[in-house]
Amino acid sequence: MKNDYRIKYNRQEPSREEVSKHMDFASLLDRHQETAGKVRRLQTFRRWGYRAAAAAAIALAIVAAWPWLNPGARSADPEAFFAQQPCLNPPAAGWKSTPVVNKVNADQGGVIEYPSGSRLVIPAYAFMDDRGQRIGGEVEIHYRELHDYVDFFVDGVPMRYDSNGRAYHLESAGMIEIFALQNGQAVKLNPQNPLQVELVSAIYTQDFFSLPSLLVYQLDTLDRNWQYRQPDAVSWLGGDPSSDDPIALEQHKWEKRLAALEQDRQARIRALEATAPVPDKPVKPEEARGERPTLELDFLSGDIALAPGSDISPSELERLHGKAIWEIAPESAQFDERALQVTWEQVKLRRLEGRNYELTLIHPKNQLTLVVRPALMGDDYRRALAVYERQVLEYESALAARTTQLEAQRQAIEDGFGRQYNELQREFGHFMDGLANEGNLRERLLRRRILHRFTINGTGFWNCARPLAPAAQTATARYVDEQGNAIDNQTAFVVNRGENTVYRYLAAPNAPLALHPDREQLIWVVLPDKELAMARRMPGEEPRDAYTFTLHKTGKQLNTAEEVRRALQFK
Amino acid sequence: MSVPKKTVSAADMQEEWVQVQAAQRDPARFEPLYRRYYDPIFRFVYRRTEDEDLTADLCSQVFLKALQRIQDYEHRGVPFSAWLYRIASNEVSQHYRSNPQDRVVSVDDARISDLAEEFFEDDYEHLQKYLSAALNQLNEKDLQLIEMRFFEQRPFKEIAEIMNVTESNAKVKTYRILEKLKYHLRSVAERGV
Repeated sequence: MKNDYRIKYNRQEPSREEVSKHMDFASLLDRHQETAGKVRRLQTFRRWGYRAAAAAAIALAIVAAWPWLNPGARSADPEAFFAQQPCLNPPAAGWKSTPVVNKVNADQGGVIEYPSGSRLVIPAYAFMDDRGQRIGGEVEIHYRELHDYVDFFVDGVPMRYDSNGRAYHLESAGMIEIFALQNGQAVKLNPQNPLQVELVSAIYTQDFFSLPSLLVYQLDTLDRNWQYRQPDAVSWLGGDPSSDDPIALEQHKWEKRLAALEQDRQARIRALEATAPVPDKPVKPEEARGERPTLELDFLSGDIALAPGSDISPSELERLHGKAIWEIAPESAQFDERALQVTWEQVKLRRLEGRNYELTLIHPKNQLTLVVRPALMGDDYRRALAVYERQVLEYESALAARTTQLEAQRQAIEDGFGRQYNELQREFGHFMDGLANEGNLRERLLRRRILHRFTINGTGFWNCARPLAPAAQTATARYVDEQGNAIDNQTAFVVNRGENTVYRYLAAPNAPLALHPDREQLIWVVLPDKELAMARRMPGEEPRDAYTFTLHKTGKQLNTAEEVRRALQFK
Repeated sequence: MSVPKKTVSAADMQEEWVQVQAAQRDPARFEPLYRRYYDPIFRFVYRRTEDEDLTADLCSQVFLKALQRIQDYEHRGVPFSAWLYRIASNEVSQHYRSNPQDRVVSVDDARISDLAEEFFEDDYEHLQKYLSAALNQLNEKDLQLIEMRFFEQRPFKEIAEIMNVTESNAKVKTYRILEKLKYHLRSVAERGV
């Protein structure tokens, strides 16, 4: 990358007085009120609609006139239009689902299991107040799951994702909203003790046997953008073999066949590896540091016995650390050095990470546990180092020889597995082709339950998703009602069949719209009286540069998310 | 490198949060926050732009956006200024998105010695000679971090708050960018650019 920044050295900065000359709070406030006024007019327009439910005559007048009510607020700039709206912008009151509320003792943590099968694992001290101080006592956890495009729409969750200036849309495989209260006040999550989420969702997959690649994003309502947080650890949740549901049974049958193939592959690889054991990796000697207390443990002379529970034998110790003295490691807990004067009868030695061992000195009346590591001094160390360097060369050569010896056979196992896997996929494809699609049987079979595992260290919305690249084809669109009257200065929502996301566009003359020519699209706006006005665009239509969508009213007020969901189904 | 501490006490943040809540209820009460932060935000923008007039325009846009979005602001235990700097940083990036070559980087000689220390570079003149060419190899996000850390001497805690990442993440990023910068310095010196 080559930029050409204008780098200026030792620039004179303006004085405080010069800076203050530019301050003008009154003008800032005027500009704010001017822009806020436009938003308010739009909002007032909507509220007007809700009140109209109680005054039918007025409502009729509003419905008839709604496209023309607010010409002053018209804008063809989608960026400006959406910038003035709240980040979370539910299109109507009463559609959002209510959260499930559970209480947890913040000092102890706990596990919450939800009816969806999802779980929340809350460690102790997972909450803090807005000063960052850890809090104890009872905390209420408010939790909701959002699964499909209808949920995202009724919640007003933005699905656009700006990554380094490039706009994507997140296709969600499951989303949660979580917040916590104590005595009615919001509390925050302690980033040092994150919560673990196990979210169960169902996704439609074209490839029955392969796990999707998903990422976890958190919504930053200040930046009005999603922030990537971590990969999503996903696993299939198998079809329930004890279920009465024929779809679940069928899914289980195919999963079982794939699992059998996988088990067979692993067993073959294990058997192959057993034919040529991995050579022992030499242990690098360590020079005694001098400043740490040391112990001499001579197991071979019989002065001291290795107690049961040790995971190394005296002969192995002799081979590995023959002339070593045992240095008490800095990781060891504080101990009374008089313990080193005691005659201990037995010791127990267990391997720890790296070169460390856990040493338990045992006396009938007492015992002491230390962390120790073998170390050598002077010439013993230098000799051992020379031996180690030779052993490393031998080890690497033995390892390479083993890899070469096994590689061809390992590849043969993998190739065999690949062939069987492809055969299974082909068989599944034939099965699907032969399946009558009554009741969307095929789609239901390809809708698989999936478990997402991730951690969260903040409240708000968390989304298991993948970014969808912007559509290749863009056009302009105008939206009209059944009488041909223009609909503008509104949000138009668009969903592509088979994509679990919602696109938001500005309905305005010649406003841009992205199109997916091969997919059926649902396009709608929300009317003031909680009605929708909708259109469908079918796949395969000849692409055009400009579209006019005639939106048809649903004909009744929609009061719940379920009513909205029924209205927004693809046929 | 010694970096002066710029910390905001818990009591100050609490007081500021009360002012923010007041501004959420009534935009006119944003004024104390505006007066407190106008000067530092102005200087932040000025160091990245060509002249005072452009700086004043961008600053006015920063505070307008802050007012428009203040309803969404939640106190997260970080100073309010971090949020303003973040808006300012986005505003500068947005402004130069179409003309990145006009983006200004202000460097003081005194600050180059901090970089020299990081690079174990004794030859200060060598560093000064090739620094511009090496900085030109960085993308704008990486450049911002180097500016905040070395040319403005901000503590990692504050940088992390502005960039909305953890403090350790800010440190790791800085380390990686310094490695990149070292590499670019070597390459441009070899080419004699």
